[in-house]
Amino acid sequence: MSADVLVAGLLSGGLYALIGLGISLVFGVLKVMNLMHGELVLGGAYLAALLVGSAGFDPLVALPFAMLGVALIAYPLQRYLLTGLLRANGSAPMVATFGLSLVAQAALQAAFGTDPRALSAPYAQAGFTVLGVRVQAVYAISFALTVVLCGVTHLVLSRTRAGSAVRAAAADPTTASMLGINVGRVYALTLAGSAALAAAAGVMTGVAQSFTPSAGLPLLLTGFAVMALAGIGSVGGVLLGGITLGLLQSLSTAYFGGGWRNFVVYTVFFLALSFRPTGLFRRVAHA
Amino acid sequence: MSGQLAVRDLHKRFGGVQALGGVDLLVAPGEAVAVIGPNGAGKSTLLKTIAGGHRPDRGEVWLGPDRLDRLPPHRITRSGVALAHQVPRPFPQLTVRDNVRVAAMARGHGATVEQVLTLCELDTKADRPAASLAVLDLKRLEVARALATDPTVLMLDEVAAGLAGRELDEAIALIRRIHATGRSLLLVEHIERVVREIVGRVLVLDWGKPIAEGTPDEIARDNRVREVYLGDGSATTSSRRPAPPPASEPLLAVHGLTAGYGDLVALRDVSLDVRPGEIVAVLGANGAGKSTLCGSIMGAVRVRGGSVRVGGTEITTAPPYRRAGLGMAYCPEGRRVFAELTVRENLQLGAPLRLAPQQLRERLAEVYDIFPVLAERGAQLAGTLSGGQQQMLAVGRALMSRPRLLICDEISLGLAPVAVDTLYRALTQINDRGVAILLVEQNVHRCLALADRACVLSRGRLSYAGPAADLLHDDRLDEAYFGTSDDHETTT
Amino acid sequence: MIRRIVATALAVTTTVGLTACGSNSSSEGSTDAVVIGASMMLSGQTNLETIRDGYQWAVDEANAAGGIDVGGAKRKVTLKILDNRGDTNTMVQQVRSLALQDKAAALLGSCCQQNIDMSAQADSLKTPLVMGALPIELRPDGKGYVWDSFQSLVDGAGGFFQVAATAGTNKKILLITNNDSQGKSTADLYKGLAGKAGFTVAVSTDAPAGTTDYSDAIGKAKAAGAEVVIASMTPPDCFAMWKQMKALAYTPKLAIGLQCAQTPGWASLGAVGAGTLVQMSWIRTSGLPKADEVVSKYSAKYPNDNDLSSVALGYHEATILLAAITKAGSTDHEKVNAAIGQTDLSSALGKVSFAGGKSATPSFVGQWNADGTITQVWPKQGASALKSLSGLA
Repeated sequence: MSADVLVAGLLSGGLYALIGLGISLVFGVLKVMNLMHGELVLGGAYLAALLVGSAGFDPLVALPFAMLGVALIAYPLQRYLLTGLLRANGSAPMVATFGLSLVAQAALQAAFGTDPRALSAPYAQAGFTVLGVRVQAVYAISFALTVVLCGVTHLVLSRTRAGSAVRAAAADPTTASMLGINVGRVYALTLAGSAALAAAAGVMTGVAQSFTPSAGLPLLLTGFAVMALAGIGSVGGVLLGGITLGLLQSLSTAYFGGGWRNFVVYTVFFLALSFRPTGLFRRVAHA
Repeated sequence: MSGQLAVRDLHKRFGGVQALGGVDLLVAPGEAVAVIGPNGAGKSTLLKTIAGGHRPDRGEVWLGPDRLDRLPPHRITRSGVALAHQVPRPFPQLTVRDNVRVAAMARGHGATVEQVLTLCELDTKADRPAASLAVLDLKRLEVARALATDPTVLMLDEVAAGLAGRELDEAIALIRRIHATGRSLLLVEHIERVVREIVGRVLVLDWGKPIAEGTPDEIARDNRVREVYLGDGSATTSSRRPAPPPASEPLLAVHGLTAGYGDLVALRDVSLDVRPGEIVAVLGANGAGKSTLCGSIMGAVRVRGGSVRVGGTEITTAPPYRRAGLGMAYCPEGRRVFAELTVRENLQLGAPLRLAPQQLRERLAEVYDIFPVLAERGAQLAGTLSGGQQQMLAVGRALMSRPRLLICDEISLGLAPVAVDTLYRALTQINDRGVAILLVEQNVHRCLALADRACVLSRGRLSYAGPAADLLHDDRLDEAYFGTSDDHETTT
Repeated sequence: MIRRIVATALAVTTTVGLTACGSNSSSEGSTDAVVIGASMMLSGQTNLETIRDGYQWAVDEANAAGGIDVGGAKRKVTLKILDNRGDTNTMVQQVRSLALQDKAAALLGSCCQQNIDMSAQADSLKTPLVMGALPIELRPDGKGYVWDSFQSLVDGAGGFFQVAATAGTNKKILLITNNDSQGKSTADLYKGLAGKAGFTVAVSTDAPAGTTDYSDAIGKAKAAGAEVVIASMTPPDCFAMWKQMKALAYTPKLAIGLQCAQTPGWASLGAVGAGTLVQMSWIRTSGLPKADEVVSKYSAKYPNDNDLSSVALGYHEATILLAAITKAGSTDHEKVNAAIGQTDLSSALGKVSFAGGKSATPSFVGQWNADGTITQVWPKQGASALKSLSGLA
């Protein structure tokens, strides 16, 4: 096993973490498994593809626009549809997100066709050598982006008053609303923020790999895996969870061959869930 | 049924808080012992640690020849130690009998279910689902479930909390009957009568350490105990001021309010108002509709009839977050501070999000002025505060919106007298600054000493509204508290 | 799951509707329209509207000429196409209703993962089915109602090694395939032919569909000095692999992307995908019958040769079937089936004559250009010379 493999796993883990961050954020605040997270990721990729195709933007220039665009789509969905269902009963919002994921998938197929696409950029296929280790530029960029977005998310949640409003709404929505916090808006902003993070992951996935309208499910599963490894509600944990997943994939491919990769990853995943159901990287809760 | 319960040098830490710092305790076979102390003293932690709910950091627990502190909770139960919790949590869909039967199965040779039901006076209600029970019967069921495991030592964690008058008499009688069967009792209790009438020996904890031990009389005379537990004794001194001019426009006007949940009508045709600067008490027994009233005013409970106006604005159907901006702040029952947020973050949440930092600092300073302890603990997680401090935080958080009306729901519930003293002094201070207060309470005497006017709710209806002072000698108060125990009426 | 239930519900609804109006269809000795049925993936993960357009083109052409001759009478052709949205249960329902309610004289096939299940249905309904892209070798237990005119993998592999021999490489191969049955049989096929052609498989590995990180395989190929890449993967996967090869400074001189590089989306890789070889059954410079017409009629809608080859495939299949019905002089299933077996014609994909249910159409090897077009590099006639894999260098 070479250092190349380790570094590749580490860096691709950054992208996984970025996919997992949004889903973990929504679950932490809304207590809802957002089953359309994969389509939000794809939404970012397709929006960026439009901008790259029509306006000739570089994908990284298109990235903030894609984040904003997907967030603007997500906000009203939560504000006017999902929050209402949240009050109805436990599984209604999750079922609704599943329905929305099917609708979004069909819409993407209708609008963009079913052929796989990729975002081209000079750094998509560039690489450089550091200390004898060959590094893929796009993964280095997406790793750095993930660290920045994790940092921003963490700071917003922990250091701003809006962030403490989000945490308060997560912990006790009734009390929060009686303090004058518009919980419906907090929820919608949370989904919008999660959608923006998803879109960023989508753009980087599009540059580094490829995407099709039906690629949402594997992306969603990646997000779940990261969240399960990370535990709920810890941004740092999500980063570590993503890196763990990336390393696991690389190492299992190197040691056991590609055919055993999923077996090894899912076995570790299962063991993690069995023995640390709150996630490997969850802080010890305050009693 | 024999065996002495021996607790030796028990330690337990939660994060940075030493909940138990070396507790020694012996309960002889058949003896009844009470553990008292201010809130946060470690009383509940002691019981939970003995029952196996927490694993001690150090120390030992023995029952007769068996060492318990290393065993899992179900083995401890089987060894003969049972715990009845402060808040009963039966299986709501199961019948009373089945709830008890389930508990009896936990110990192979459990007491017979019917005996336990009879002892706890639940035999006539055995076939009703647990969800249909009123408060006293729920407490009985909680005790019955603990008793069904045929314990040598029965531990009762504030089982009398929330009971008053006849209900309290019934609860005390039940505990006495159980004691008469020869079991050892270990009680955690705030209600002095329960302690005095049942136990022969009292252990006083403060900050996780025993500070005194003796008979109830000895403890009552112990100056150190009085200091930490009862406060300075001047609590009930009235601070009566001249009532504000009645001509002023009401801040809060509730008119003909009817509200409830599902089939249940918890509040019927209730009207009351609060004028600027005055303190209005709302009294009533458990289930009288006090919390529903607060919920309706704050928008958490859907109103079926009548209206709520604040400062002249009709808000009957407005969402809760809009009401908070109208000069009204709510301090909910059970405190409901955000445990995972710091004290300072909790306070800031009370202020509007758009408030400028300078004004935010001013408001924080005002709250710190009233509750200096919150300033000291600003960076600490709210969940690590003691109950009394959490209640202060909840009041402080409400004040951050600079309300003209503060609504306090049961702020003395479950708190040690010294904490209640502090809170009531703070309420006086707050009121002196011109803030009107709607004080929803069970603690009749303290509350009436402070209030200008009072209302009494009785089974969802207003049974008295008038000057607070007159109520002390009014039959309607007695009736509201000690009348029939059917708490709710249902409609179809 | 929900999707499947909805799909089944829709299928049931469709069946009921068809039952209601299906009774006016006819079979033998009638002058009513001849019904040809097809259940296709027209929405969902794969959209085969290119093939549908090819079917429709052939039928429209026949109807414009007054219909087809069936036993001396001119009869119009009705093409009944149902969308099974990629769901196998739906497809089975639709095939049965086409054969039983609509009394279709024969069926046209679809593509890809549904082929095996669909051919089993045709056999059990004893209804002839002409389809493309069925590896008919995978169904030795067939009952003779299924006819496949697609290219042969062996031809393509042979062509590839002929091309590769001219490229001046060290003849060391990185062979990477999906770890499913098709991937494994492709790997076996290429391994066998590599030895005969004087090539060595230096690294052979497999990866599950959906793999996005190939750094391990690339690292091994670099270490082994492999200058030829043979990759057989589902389409999106090799997008990531090609980018990774470039970024990790692995520069093979020659690469063939089976399946994966055959999607039109490969054009979006631009320079990185340029130089990649693909096996094709149609290409605009092939000189096949109707090639110019395919381009003039459909290149506005489908600019890419991959898509145009699917249109040609559809036209080709439908033409085979219509000719067989005329030859049979009947819409009777057995007679039509027998007539298909005797097919001897040339259509959009070339000459057809079946042996054992299979008539391989010619194979071509094309090479991707950076502008998203494909140039024929094998067979030589009219082809450009092989370029190096410029994008990866």
